[in-house]
Amino acid sequence: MGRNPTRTKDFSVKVGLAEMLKGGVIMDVVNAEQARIAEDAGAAAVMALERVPADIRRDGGVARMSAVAMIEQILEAVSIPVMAKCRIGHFVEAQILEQLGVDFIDESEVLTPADEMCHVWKHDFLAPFVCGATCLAEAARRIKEGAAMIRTKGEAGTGNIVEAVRHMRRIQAEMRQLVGLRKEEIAARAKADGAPVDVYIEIAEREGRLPVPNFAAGGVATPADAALMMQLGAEAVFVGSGIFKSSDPPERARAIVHAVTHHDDPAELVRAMRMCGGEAMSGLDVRKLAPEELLAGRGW
Amino acid sequence: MAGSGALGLLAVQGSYDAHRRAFEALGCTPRPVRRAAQLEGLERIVLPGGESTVLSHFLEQEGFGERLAERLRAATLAALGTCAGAILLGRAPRDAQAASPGGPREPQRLGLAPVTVRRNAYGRQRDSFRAPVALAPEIAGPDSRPFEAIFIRAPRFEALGAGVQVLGRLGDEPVLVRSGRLVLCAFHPELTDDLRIHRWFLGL
Repeated sequence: MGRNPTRTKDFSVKVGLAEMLKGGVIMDVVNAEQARIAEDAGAAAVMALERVPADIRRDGGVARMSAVAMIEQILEAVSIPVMAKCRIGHFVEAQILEQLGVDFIDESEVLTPADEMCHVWKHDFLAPFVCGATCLAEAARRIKEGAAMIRTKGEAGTGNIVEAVRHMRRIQAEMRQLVGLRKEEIAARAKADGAPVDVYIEIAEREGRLPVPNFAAGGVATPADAALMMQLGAEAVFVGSGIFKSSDPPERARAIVHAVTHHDDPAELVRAMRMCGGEAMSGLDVRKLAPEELLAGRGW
Repeated sequence: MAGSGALGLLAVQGSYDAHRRAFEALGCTPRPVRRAAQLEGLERIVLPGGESTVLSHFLEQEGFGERLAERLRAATLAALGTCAGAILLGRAPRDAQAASPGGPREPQRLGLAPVTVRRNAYGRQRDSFRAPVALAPEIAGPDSRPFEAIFIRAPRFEALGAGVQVLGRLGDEPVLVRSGRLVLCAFHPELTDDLRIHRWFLGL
């Protein structure tokens, strides 16, 4: 029973939920049982999807929005926010996810893009959106379209942190550079980057911070990976295949939560690494993937 | 007023960074708190919004919650709990205490304030909203404008025990209440530029 008959698309209300997820871990889950394991381990939110990225990568074919029944089961199983993915540009999948009551929509390169030209115009939706980015211009374009949260793309389903590190370092460095520029220089930089000028100016005015939370995703497999992303400036961490493709999901989930909370305390990070009972997911060398196997190049 | 006693900020999960910026704008730098030993010497603490299940797990670790509860019970520490923080300070509705098997779990709470707090009482994120809250004169000060409040998957204060004072209302509903030195806020004052609630808490 909502008290407000007219629901709001107010951007501050969307960013508000993203703010509440800071310092947290968002875990990929494929069923209600995994969702409960994640909630019990201290996940701040879960991402409901049919196959984790490592399996999407293995199976090939077209990866689409998850089945409605599966998303509904997860919505009923936990009290924390539930996210779900739509394909890049597939605004009808987004409409369906919003209608289901999903709390956050990930317009994700992990699924097969539905549109090679346009992303979803996210201001049209009640539900907040998160989008991936590999550089600041891409983040700024998504924010202009209405994204209430940015995450690095990384290279999902590889268990290899190298691409997430590359994307986070690049975004942070590009934001620092804007702080030192005059307004007309920021405008020139935005033109060169193909980025919206007003978002770049806002980033400079915020002393090198995005106007929305900036999270890490793509390749996190261990507590140390999660803490690395936090120390590089991420405000929370998504873990996709890293938990339920490991040999010790409940312990690893708790350990990654502990590592994100205490990301700047090496003694606690040792404890977090000890909390893992088994093996991390096996990883892939991103350099050995064929260009068509790389997910981060999807979207623009 | 600012800096009249050490201020701690539970920096585990949620909008602690937004709270930090709000207090810094008032000239007061809060100390981040992540372990029981860091509670020593504090006069005030903020329990920010976030996910109450996550914060509840944290409170169960290594006696942090017990130590925090001791200090709050003795009223040697004042607390401002916003959203998830208010859920932890308050009590669960009777029907929410026994979670249905297979359904969502209820977080453990400190339960120190005689306020019944229902989680996610308005619904999911699509039912989150902005609305004006009327503040009591002691918080509003000379500025009698309503507080433009952001409610995110907000809790509701369903029943108030003896001695609980209502300091903010949304229509008829209490959304900012105080029980001794415990302050429970259903919305997020840290997400707007209005600093009246933060300023008032520094004097509590």
